[in-house]
Amino acid sequence: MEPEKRNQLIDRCKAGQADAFDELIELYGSRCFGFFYRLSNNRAVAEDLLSELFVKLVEKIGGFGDGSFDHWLFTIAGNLFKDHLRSRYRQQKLIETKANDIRPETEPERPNEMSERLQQALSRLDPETSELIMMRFYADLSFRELAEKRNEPIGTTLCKIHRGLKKLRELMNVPTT
Amino acid sequence: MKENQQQLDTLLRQFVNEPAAREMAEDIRHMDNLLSSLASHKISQQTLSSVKTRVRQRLAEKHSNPVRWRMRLKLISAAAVILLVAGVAFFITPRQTEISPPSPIVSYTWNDGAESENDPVDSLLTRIEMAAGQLDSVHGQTSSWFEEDNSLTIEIQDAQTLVADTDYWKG
Repeated sequence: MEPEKRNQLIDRCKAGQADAFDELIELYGSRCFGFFYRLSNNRAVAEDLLSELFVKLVEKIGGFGDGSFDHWLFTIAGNLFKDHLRSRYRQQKLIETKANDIRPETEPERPNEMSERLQQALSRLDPETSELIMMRFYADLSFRELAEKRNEPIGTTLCKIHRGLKKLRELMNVPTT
Repeated sequence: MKENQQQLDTLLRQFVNEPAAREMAEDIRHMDNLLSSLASHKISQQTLSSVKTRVRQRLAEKHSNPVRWRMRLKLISAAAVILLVAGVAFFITPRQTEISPPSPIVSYTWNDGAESENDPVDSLLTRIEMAAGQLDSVHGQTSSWFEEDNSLTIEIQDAQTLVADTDYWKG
């Protein structure tokens, strides 16, 4: 969507127009769902978080000023996921047992074997790294934006993501090019 | 927005040497491409509809809230006015009703037919009487002085006569 049209859409959302929110959900629903699903490895949790995200947006959208809407939206989504982690699991335990612990009750759709391997590999990364990778991918954030968001030097963010991606590739048994 | 290939290369070269930067950039690009190829997530129309419904409900609640807020605002304003009036009354009323110290004469009271020992008028009168007594006694002494011994009067008269009759003071 063109930035101008998107800004108009956001303005309409700020005015509290329900149809504008419908459009926003159509526009970002899939990406946000993917973000939550990749992080939680659980379709039901991802759907709940998606719903919660947009309900939260109703309250928060008035506070959105200038800047990247995607960045802002996925920052809220990331915080929501962290809250979810805090409320449901103790994070340390999750790191150790996540793969077995939160296996979805209903088996999600597996488009292909590679996707399943990615999901498994992501669940074995520590939550901070997997969130960082997903944030970069789904929120389409640059390293600089991610570093600013995390209040850390850009070199640190670069190093963490590179290490995370390497680890992900090892876990997925993807050959180097 | 994610960096393009050139921006990524430039960025990485700021931190590591060129071969390492090339390798890192290749790693990142490779995984970015892989993630892109696996990015499609089918979200059911039912899920989207339920999200929209929840959002509409929240919007409706939000629209009804301003009414409640207006009512709350009125209540808060009324309470504030009451508090203000009470505060003003608290500061003003004590000054208006402040009792001025009673006049000693007005408060002069009798207790069982006798003057109160602590009455300020009593003590004042007592002191006046004492002072009058002292004055009388002093006056009595001096009067008796002049009555008993007239030499002092005579000496004064002599001195006055001397001054009037002679010019001794001129040298």
